[in-house]
This record gives sequence, structure tokens and C-alpha cells, in this order.
Amino acid sequence: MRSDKLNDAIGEIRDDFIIDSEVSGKNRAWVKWAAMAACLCLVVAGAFGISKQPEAVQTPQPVGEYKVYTPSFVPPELRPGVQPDMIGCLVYNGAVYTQSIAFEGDNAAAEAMIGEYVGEAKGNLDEWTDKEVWKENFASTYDGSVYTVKGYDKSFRLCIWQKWYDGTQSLQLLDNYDGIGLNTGKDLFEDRLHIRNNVAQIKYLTHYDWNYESHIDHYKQFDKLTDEQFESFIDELCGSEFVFIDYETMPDFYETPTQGHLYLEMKDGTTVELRLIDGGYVGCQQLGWYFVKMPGEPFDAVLSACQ
Amino acid sequence: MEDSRIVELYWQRNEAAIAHTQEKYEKYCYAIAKGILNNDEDANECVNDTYMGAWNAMPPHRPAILSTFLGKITRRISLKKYRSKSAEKRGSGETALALEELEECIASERSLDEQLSAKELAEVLNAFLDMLKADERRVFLRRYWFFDSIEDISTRFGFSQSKVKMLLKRTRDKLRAQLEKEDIWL
Repeated sequence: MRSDKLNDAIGEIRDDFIIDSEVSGKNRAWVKWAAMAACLCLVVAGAFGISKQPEAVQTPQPVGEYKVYTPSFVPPELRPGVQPDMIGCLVYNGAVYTQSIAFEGDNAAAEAMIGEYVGEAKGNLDEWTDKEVWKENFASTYDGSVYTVKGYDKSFRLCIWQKWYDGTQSLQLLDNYDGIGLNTGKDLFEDRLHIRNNVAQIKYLTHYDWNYESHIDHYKQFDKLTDEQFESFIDELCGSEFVFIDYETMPDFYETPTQGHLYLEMKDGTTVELRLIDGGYVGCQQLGWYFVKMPGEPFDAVLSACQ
Repeated sequence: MEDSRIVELYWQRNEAAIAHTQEKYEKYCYAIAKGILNNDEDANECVNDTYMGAWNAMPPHRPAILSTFLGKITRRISLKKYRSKSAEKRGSGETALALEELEECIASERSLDEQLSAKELAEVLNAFLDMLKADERRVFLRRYWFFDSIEDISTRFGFSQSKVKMLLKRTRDKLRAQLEKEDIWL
């Protein structure tokens, strides 16, 4: 083929480009979120007391009775030698909503999710945007019309309806994890993500497939447990408390060998991705270093079923 | 074992280098080969050939990053096998689709300058990739370095498939324009 020479040359590009594209995306997203949480001011209430406070970071709101409190979002800063990177964002009513899973259902299903019109996303944010711009309502990395999402509180979830040049359309969900207090899994998984009695089907990926393989061939139906067993897992998840994973004391946490990845496909067309890490830890992508800790039989059963 | 220690074993012509390479990078190299060949047996064969390629390349090479050094060997070997197999029949699957897409980057009825070495062309590509936004570059390389499917790329980055297609189309158009600007053709 005429492009063989071009293809061969692509194979010889700089190593840092290859490495960047290896770690980017889902893995990098987890690391990105984790790095954000590690760099921003963190306060853990209750038995854990006050944790580290990196320099030059704004002080968060008071924690009150919360077990964990996600940091208030701080715009990225360029530093020499550091490749900037961004996730999708929308600023609304003083909070920074960040990209959730892109909705891949057909247009009719997507339109069925759209609620009230809220405003127009400005598409004016990137790695180099001045901090002052981040204070503007509807400042965003996206262009498009912003709507509420039916069935979800707009203080947690919004969506942007994007129209592309080729006539296709897509719906991007955005969630608000900007300075929220969490005690138990119920605060997130039930009250915000609505996983209770809303799951249509469940798929999973083994950790190996999640890391290395082409996903399209490797999603598996999660069918090794009974409905009752999985309900026990959900009950335990919602009833267990959040913990913060301290990078300095557990730097290899994300490299734990035994992990599983569940995809809860909801009746409303959304998907909740859960990451299970050996030791009883259950998290979702946007939370970074915050996990529900639920060691015990329900967790072990689900983790085993993902291997 | 650290990469520098493994490389040192190659330089010492110590065959333990192969065992350590296999232990650390077998899955990585296999994933690259499988992405191109979509066949377990062929992928395993290419991984084994990668170890031989590494043994023959070190010395004189002393790579700073062993993973990408091995990955490039695997990619070259896998593409060579892919081309030899598809010479017999029309290729199908993601690799064939990706290669056909890259044809768009070459102006019609022209070919890339045969006098231009792969290394020189890679330098042109490096400069081109430097100009791209991070998302554009990553999506482009996941497709044309790793041969990921559109669906996998969309899942990896949380983009819709239509956005992935649009990003790839725009980047291919930019690359074509850059090659024409550099006057790289016969």
C-alpha cells in the first residue's frame, strides 16, 4: 500500500509520544483524578483528623460530619517541563462539573434523558486558560447546549448536547464532584448515581483485559452470582464508609494485582463503572483516591466473579 | 528488574536478559502484536521474534526506555507478518481499516518520496505530532500506532465514537496538508 512507508515511520516516532498515548485515557484518567486529589487541599473528618495541606492551595469549606470531603476544584497550572492535560469540564453555579461517561445510545434514547435547558457552554477552557475565566458561568471545554438530566439532581449531574460537523450528535454527561462531603456509599452510589433498583444488566472486564486488551471482544456478562448475592454487595456498598487512600503511604495502590471492573448498565441508558481493588475497596473514576471500604464476603464474591 | 539492569544483561550477552524481558514485557508486546494481527498464534510468534530482535539489537543499542524499544520491534515484526499474510488475500479487520484510512494522508496518484528514509519521515511526523493538541495526538496514535478500534478509543477516552471519527479525520487532513507543505512526494 502507498501508506506503508508512512505507517512504518509512525512506528519510529518519539518515545514520549508513545508512552503518553499508552497511559492516556482510562488509566490516565484514574491517575489524573488521583493526582488532582493528592495535590488539592484535603480534609478528612471524624477519626482521621486533618490530613496534609499542600502549599498554595485554597482552604476548603468546613467538613462538618463528613468522613471524606472531595477537594474544591483548582484550575490547572502550567509548570516548566510538565505536559498539561485536561479532562472535560463545565463551570455552573460556582461548581466545576467534570466529564462522566459519554452516552452512546441512539439519538432517541439520548433525547429521552434531556431535561430542562440550562444555558450554552462556551467552549473557552483549555490547559492555558487564565484562572479568571474559570469563574465564568458556563465556562467549558465543550461547545453545546447544557441541559439537566431527567431523574438526576442538577446540583450533581448535567449534560451537554453536542452536534458535530458531519451531522452526528452525542450526549456528554457531566458530574459535580467539586467539594462534596461523603459518609457512606449511599451518599454517592444511591443518592447521586441511583444504582439501587435501576440496573438493567451488568458486564465486567478482568483487570488484564481492562489494561491490555481490545474491550469490544472482552466484555463479559456478569452472571456468576445470584441476584441476591449481588444485592448483598449493593447493600454493603451503600452501608460502608468512604476512606481516603493516602498516596504517600500507599503509592502502589493502583498497581494492586487483584482488581475487577464492573459496568452497571442502568435502565436509563447511563453506565456506572465500579473499580474493585483487593482489600475491600470500591471506587468510581471521578473519585480518584476516595474509595468505599467494605472488606468481607459480599465484596470477595463479586471480586472473584470478575477474575 | 529495572530496565537498565536488563539492558546491561544484553550487553553482557547474558541470556538471562531474555527471561527478564519476557517476565516484564511479554504482556505488553503481546498486546501490541495482537492488536495488529488479531490472532493468538501469530501474536505469540511475533513476541518470540521480538526477543530475538532485542538480542540482536543490544548491543549496539542501549535504549533509555526499554518498553518502547521493544514495542517498536514488536510493531515492525507484526506489521511485516500482517503484510505477508494479506498479500495472499484482502485484509480485513481493524488493521486493514486503519491502513486504508492512512491512505488518505497521501495525495492521490502520488507516493511518498522513496529517497526519504523512515527516520527522516519520522522526524517530520514528530514535528507534526508536536503541533497537535493532546487529545488529537493520543487518539491518532491509539489508532495508527496501536491499531485500536474506534470503539475502544471512545471507551478509553470517554468520547463518543462520532467524536473519535471526527478527530481522526481532522488529524489525517492536517497530516496530508503538512506532507504536501513539506513537499514530501514523488
